[in-house]
Amino acid sequence: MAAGKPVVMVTLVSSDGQSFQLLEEAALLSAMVRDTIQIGQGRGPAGIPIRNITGQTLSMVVVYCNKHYTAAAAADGDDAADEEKKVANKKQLREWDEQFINLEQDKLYDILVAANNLGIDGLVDLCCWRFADMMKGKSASEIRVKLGIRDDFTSEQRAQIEKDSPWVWSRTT
Amino acid sequence: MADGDGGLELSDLPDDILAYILDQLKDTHAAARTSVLSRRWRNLWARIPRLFFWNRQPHDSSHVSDALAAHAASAITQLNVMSLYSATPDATASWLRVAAPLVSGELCFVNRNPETQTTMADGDGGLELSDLPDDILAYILDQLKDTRAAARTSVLSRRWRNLWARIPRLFFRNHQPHDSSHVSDALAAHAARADSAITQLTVMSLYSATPDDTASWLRVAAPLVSGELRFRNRSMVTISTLIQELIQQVVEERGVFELPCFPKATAIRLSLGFLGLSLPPSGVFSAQPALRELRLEYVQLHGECTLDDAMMPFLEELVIFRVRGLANLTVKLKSLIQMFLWEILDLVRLNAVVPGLKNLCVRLSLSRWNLPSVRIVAEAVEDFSWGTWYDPGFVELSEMPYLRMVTAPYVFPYGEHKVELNQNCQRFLRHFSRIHSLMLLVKFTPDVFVAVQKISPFSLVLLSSKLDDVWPLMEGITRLPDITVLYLHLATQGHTYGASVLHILAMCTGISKLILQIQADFEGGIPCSVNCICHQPPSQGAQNFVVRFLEEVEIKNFNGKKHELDFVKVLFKAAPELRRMRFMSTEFHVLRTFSIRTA
Repeated sequence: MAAGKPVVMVTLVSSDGQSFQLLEEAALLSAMVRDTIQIGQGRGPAGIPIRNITGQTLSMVVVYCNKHYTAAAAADGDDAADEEKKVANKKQLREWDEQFINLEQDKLYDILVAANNLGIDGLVDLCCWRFADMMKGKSASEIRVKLGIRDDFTSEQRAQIEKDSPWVWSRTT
Repeated sequence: MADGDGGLELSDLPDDILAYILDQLKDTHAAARTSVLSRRWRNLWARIPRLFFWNRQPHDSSHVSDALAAHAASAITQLNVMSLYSATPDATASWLRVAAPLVSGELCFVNRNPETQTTMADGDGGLELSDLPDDILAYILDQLKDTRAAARTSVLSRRWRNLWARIPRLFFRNHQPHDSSHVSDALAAHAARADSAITQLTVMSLYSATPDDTASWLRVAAPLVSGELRFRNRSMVTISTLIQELIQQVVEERGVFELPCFPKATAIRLSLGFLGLSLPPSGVFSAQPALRELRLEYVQLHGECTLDDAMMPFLEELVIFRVRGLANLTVKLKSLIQMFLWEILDLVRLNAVVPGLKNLCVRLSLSRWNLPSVRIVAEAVEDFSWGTWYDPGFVELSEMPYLRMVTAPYVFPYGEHKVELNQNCQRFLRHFSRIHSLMLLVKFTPDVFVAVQKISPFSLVLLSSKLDDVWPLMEGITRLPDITVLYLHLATQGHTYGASVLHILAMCTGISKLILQIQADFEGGIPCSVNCICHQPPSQGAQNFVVRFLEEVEIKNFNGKKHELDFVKVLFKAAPELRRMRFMSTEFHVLRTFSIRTA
């Protein structure tokens, strides 16, 4: 399929010195990598140093990039008119995503920070979706506990907020 | 297994160290859980002289008493009890009684400490969601896709107080038909706090919203939305119910509302579940000066409707999909690029003057009764799809010199009504002498249209019939325009398609590329049998022809069955210049490409 195209690999190096090789096209999902390569760096054997991201986290990010690059490349080969298949493939990828991101909260947090620093929009979306999912159907105090938020309101202030916006708190269902 | 490289052997460590590791858990409950690991671990946890309890339940601290009793073997140098919520005095007194004789060092009891809550949440102390920038937190709220739930986080802490209002996309699910005041309130609250405009407002009304109520939040929203407005009414109702309502003569009257002017909105998508949209007596739509995309689905209109440059000077995409009550439609838009008109059942007259249009799709209905008179002036059209009855007496199309792709109405190889339906396609195709690409939709098991009385021309009963049929194949199609690329979409429903494809190819021997798309689903049709007519070979003429210029063939959903391979063999014989064949199969989600060169 891509017979004539040379295969270009890039190396990402984590803050604790672990190296990860991946296809340049997969790494280009990251805006940070894109910028680095655009100014003519990062292609050498030393690779691209990724500060503040440990090997453990970066390895997950690399798995995500590879998966999404492969999926996009496969979709390219398909016919644009075949709506059904596109929808099916998209659904499959989404299922993979949801399984991939079904992580412990601290790992999720690390990946979100990493994705944000690397500028991988899809992964930021996914992490945020997962955090949002954790918040769904929970009361304020449950969310505080779950996400480690310190309550710095007085109970009077809280009552005032609830009084100020009845549309939020009234139960209409 | 657990340690991966197999080198680590935790059990080599002396008991004291293991106990110390457990101590570091700072959670006696978790430490005690290790007692089931192996015999050696059975009582390790009880060697730890420091105990930590995190109590989540205000009324019940019995696990503290139980653990103290179980631990009693060695002295306790430190006892920490953190109660997340407010512990009751009784529960507190009860564990204190048990602890009193046992603690020989320090006793620490913290009730309702917010810091406790934080520590509890992150376990190893690593996570601090609040370290994230506000934008990301707002983004997490955005992913809730529920503005009310997002707004509820305003009581979490001061930092979260107005975070929800930073989200430019608002989503509401309305459970009450008569009261959507929370939408208006939320919009006002958002406007008061937000520094950014609303780029997307989505309102879903589960049940049928009242017109007054709909009009009231639309008025509030109108000046605020600077991107997309989506309103879906009766979102609980299934599509098939809506289609039933579309073709019924009489439906429940749901009232009408007026769409106000949205001065900054770029897209408006309304799926109304046949809630009425009122147009002023002139039939003129309200002005939408920034609008690029307008989509009306399942709408009840009344009488006529005019869309012109004065009211929508920048409209690029217009979709009118399954609409009732629209008799006269006039479209005069210079900027329009795509127009999609689909099942506008009561249409009597369509007049469209759209000089910039590139994409045109018209599928009003396949019935021959009540043919609307159609006039379309669209000289820049490149892609034209016509899926409706074509009668030159009623249809006036301008010249389309830039046309590249044409999609014709369905053709039927078999079935009792095929002649009439195929002639419709043939009449449409006669309009073109030369087209670059042609898409033919070939349907193997014909839907038999049976008109049920004269109640409504569209009350048709669709029945899938067997392919019992008399020759000749595809009667009614006699000639195709001069084309370069032929797309065939084959709704085979399990039938053999070789004869039909060869029959069509014999009519367009000048093509250089052929693309076959075999529809994957087999639902609804009557299964193919050994005696099925589809196994009959094509006519003599369709067996001895040469597609001299055919160089490239693609077959999508090729399954490699015997009849398919036979077809490919015949194709090879008929196409001396064939250089490349691609077979794609979705069956196994693999893309298989073969390049074949003929000697």
